[in-house]
Amino acid sequence: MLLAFVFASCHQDVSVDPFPFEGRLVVESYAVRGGDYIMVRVDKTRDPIYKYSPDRPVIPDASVRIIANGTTYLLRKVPYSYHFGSQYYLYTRGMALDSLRLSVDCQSAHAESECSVPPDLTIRRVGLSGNVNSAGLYTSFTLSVDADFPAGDSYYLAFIMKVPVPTPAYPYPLSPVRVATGYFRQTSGALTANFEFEGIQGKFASCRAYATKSGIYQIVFSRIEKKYYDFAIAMMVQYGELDSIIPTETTDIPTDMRGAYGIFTGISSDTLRVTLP
Amino acid sequence: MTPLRTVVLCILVCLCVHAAGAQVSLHGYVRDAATRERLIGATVAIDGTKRGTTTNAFGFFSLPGGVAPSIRLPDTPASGPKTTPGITLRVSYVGYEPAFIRLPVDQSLDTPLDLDLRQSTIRTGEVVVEADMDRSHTSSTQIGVVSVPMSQIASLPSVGGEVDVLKAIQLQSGVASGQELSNSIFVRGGNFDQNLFLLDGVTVYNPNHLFGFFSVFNTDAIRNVEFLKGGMPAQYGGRLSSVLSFSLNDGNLESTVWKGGVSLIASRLSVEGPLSDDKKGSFLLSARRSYYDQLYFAATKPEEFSPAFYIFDLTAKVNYSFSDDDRVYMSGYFGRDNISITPDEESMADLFNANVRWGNEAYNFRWNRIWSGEFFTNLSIVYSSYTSEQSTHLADLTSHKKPSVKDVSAKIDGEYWMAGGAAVAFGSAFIRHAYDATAGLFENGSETVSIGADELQHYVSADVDVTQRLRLYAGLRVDYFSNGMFLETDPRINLRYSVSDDLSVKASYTRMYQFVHLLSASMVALPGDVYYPATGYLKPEVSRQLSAGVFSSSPMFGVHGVDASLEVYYKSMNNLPMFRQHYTSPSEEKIREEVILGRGWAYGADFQLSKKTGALTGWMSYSYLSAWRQYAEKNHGRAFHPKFDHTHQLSVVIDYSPWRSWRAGVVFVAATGQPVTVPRQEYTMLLYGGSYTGDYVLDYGDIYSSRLHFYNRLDISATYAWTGWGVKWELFTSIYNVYNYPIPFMVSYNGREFSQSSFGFLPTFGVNFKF
Repeated sequence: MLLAFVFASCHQDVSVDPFPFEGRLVVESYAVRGGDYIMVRVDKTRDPIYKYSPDRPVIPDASVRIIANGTTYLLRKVPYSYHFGSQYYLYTRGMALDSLRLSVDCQSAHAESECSVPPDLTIRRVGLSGNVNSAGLYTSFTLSVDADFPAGDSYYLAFIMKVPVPTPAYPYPLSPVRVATGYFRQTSGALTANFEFEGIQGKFASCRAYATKSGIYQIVFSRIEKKYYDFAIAMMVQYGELDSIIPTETTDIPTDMRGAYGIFTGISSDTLRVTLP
Repeated sequence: MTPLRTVVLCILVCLCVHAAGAQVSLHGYVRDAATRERLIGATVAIDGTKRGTTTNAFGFFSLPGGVAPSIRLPDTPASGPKTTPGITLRVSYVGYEPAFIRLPVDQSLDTPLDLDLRQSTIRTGEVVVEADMDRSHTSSTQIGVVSVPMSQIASLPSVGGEVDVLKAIQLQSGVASGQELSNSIFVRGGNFDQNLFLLDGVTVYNPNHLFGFFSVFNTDAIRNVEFLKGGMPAQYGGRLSSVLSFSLNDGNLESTVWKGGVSLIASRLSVEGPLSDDKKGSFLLSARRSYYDQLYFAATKPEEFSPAFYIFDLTAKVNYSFSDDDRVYMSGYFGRDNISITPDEESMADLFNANVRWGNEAYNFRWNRIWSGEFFTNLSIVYSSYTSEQSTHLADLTSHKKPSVKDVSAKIDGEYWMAGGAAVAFGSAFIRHAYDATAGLFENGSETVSIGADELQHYVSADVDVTQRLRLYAGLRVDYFSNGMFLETDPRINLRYSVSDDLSVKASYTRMYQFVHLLSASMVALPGDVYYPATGYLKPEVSRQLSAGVFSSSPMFGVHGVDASLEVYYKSMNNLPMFRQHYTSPSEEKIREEVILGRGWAYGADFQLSKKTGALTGWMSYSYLSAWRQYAEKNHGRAFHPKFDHTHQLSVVIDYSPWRSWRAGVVFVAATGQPVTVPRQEYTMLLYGGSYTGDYVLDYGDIYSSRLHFYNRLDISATYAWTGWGVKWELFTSIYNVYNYPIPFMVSYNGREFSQSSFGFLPTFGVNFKF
């Protein structure tokens, strides 16, 4: 009854004074070994309060360069933009994916960063075992991966599983949908991790409930840089805060870009297709 | 000279000066005349002289050295009845009629006296005498102390009908509250976990029920509460910012009494009475349970079942006097909060359910012994624990976690009163701590780290008149904490200079250490919050506080019984933990990665006016606070105001009872809005492989760089009392936030807009009874 009283009188308009907003450059870029390409997405920040205002700034064309081994490569703008408002720049012709420097100029804004692409990673075997509920949905699964993990220092891994069929959460079969994500720090040995259905986050691993008649799944397993591990986990934690009914301290999203938000990171990935038992 | 050396020297000087001359002493207990329960903090003075003292935590007092027969008896007592030759004692206590007790010269003073006081029934008469008698506010060396009469707390407006001691403490100067309706307290710029909550001397780690909506302290079972926010005596340690010492009722020695109450959210029932016909012992049993879950079950169909919640607590105490000089006490508290969550869809019921239980346990065995009229000891054997048990069933996965902290301790405290009014206190304690730390609530994959630690505490202090006007309290506390091998010394110095009988100036220096950290990423008290001991990395928190103030008991504008104080302070704090980003594991390796240590400081002024006698009682407090935190990795290393920093805060509390039947209460609070963190930029991040969890992230810039708007609130209450069927009844009603001001509970951002959750107008009613 108390709770009824309390929550009946909740939710009113904001009474916090907004800050003067000024858009800033956002750069999200991946140098991918395995696919052997560099993708750079250029975007701008939005006002958190008035982000749907009609005078949203248009992002002008940018000049995007990669410097590798003293050579500068100009990235080509992709004419088709997948995400509203963003511009994509791509480089696919041969380049030594090792230590790279990124430079982005967009109007008067300049951003730059560096990355080191991790060495190759080859998956030898992936084990998946799932749990099905009475409604026929996979609700959790256990992943085990045997790959050529190096011994010694800590290294960081990303796991992505996609399904090319509709799911309860995403009913459009047009493109593979990510149903599970995980970020791990390993010190040695094979990787084993439990994934649970959406809403309950494990150790920075989560998945959606999905249909059992899904057929073949696409597994992308990547070796990533620590800064990308920190970046992705911070995002997951921040999403968790926004979903939480309990007010929590805020989480910062780190950036390695100078002059912009975002990240420039190297990834070594291996992709295979499996059938879930 | 360092503060430590100064304290040691002061104690030695005090002991040397006052060691000689111990003579026949006058000692005993001050009791409630009706129940024979002993009163804590009552004033006992020899009429016509400046000699006086207050009763200790067990109602004991001692006036040694020349009380009889060497002291000259006053020819004419300052007040009270005319006497034949002898000693007249003035005995007073807030809420009781003052007593002048004649002692014949030939009375043996080697046996404990029992001085009985009657509760005030006439609220407008004898007020002047009563008010003017109690000068402990100005005469004590203690600074930063607040004693709120339980009778005043009981009349305060409440939410849901459960009167809360901690909510009354929130209205004191120097105290900021946390989230709205929460009973969290932040004292002089300190954190919530920096408050030491003691229930009959036992540490209570988490004083919250229902996420902080009300506290674990059942007002029916509490006799006295003492709140210290500065100048802590040496017997207190282990927390940086404050001490809240709650004393349970001993139990009525004269007759069996039942009392209880029914409110919107909970019911209470207590019984107390003598243990036997010889009236050498008494008992108290008090229970409380909320019934939100029962009401919800009754009002809904089974298929609509959703979170069920209830709280329950039980308080018990027994005491027995084996001789004039020996008394034993056994007290216990057991409390639990329980939440069960089961999805309302049948298909999901097998898939997911969760159960969370948490609560405190506190048990204490104490033996009081009067070795002589001047020497009193108390031996305690204590068990205290806080446990949170979280069970989550998710498909084939089950998570069961049980973070806890458990203490077992043995403690001896002694008090020795010397001739001339000096009082020496000393004690030692051994505590064995056991910490089970786990990762956050509902996180899959239990990981528990168990850490044990032993703690040794020793203290000694002396409270002595240096001159007729100057009184000095000097204390030294030594703590050893085995986890990390920390050996720390805490000096305590309080000075009081009496300008007149009604006006004094006080100053203090206090250093405090805290060997347990509360690791929490949430902004409200959660059952899963982790108590983590000091380690080589997580060093003990330490504070240093300097405070000074002016204290007055002079009549103001013709009104007697008004205590006024103005204190200023500066407090520094080091080794304050904060999560770098998030909390994933309690292992020491992860703690090093995920927790950062910073520093804090606060300065401010506390002004308080309080009136404790008469038909109109209450207090007004104003606080100015400037609190700061600084972490190398937050806000680019710049200092910032923490979330509870209310720069200005004004509280007015009025309890008005002009007639026997009616009583009214008013609470008004106004304060600067508290700091909040709001996002400044939003942008899209897709991550490698495409977006999964969402499409935007937020940049908050500097944390706590905005403030909520001005806060104000008015609460009122009314109580009607009558007697019927041999039972004393009280019908009460109260309204929280009378004018429905949008009081912010939380500002959140849901990806589209800010929303401010707030509390509006909340009426409540209930009934209390006693027979």
